[in-house]
Amino acid sequence: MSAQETAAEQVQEASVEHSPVTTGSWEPNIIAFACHYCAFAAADLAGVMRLSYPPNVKIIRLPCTGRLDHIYVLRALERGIDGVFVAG
Amino acid sequence: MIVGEQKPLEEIWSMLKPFKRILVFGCNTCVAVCHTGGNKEAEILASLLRMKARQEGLEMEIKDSGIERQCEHEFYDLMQETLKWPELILSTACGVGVQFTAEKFPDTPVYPALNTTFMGAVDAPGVFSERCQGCGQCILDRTAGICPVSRCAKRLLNGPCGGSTQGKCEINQDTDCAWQLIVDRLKSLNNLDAYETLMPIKDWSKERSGGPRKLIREDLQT
Repeated sequence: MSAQETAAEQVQEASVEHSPVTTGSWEPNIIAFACHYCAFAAADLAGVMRLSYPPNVKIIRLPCTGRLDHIYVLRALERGIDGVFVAG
Repeated sequence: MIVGEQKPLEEIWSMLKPFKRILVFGCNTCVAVCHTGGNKEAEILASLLRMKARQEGLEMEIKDSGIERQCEHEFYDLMQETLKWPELILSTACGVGVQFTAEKFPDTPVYPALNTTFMGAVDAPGVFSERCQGCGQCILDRTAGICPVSRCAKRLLNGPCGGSTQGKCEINQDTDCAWQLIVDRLKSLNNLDAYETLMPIKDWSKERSGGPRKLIREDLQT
């Protein structure tokens, strides 16, 4: 939590990787917060079934979407993520 | 606890524009209970303000921090270095905390992020209502635990006014008539005699009207 970090540590912010522009059309960077028992399990199953989804969607596993805090969404948006998907 | 509401983001933003190094400083006691100024809310506000600065193309460093309470000296001890960094401290504490912080850091402007409103209780998650105005002369023993000074629009001390209708106050149909509540409660406590006994004229000088107040406990001095 930022409250315990010193001011200096907060300067270290991760930068967002941008997907290479190949076809000239813009691809959004999406983060999906998926809960372990529901949406992440679904993503796992999609993998098992060899279903594919675009590489510009990155999944973060939470134990439950109840664990999602406002600041996670804001931090993602602050670092340049184009959209946040919460599934649970 | 003390309840405050966060100022609209536009209002906060207009206060911050001239500054380059801003610290959003949270208070984790009363205003954290009403989810408007706690350390978590300070972090959220800082994030929103950073995005706002980026949208407007302004070069600003906005960081967040916070302590347990902004109304006691000891809590600031570990924060001396953090609080020397900013040009502006945006305090999300109640008015007390903003002023206390300003007194401790007289060379740095300290601005409020909240509009401090009242002393109240949490009726239900997200619902906070006024209960006490700090009148300095508590009569709750005679009014069955319901305060007519804070909950009666006219602050009457002896029974409802003629405007009390069906248990509601004439100023607003959603506001309960405090005296209706008092009489009902005295009845259920079998203490209607307290209602019959007239309340003497109140000494309003003990309230804020008598000037800013100070309490000194001789037995607790160092």
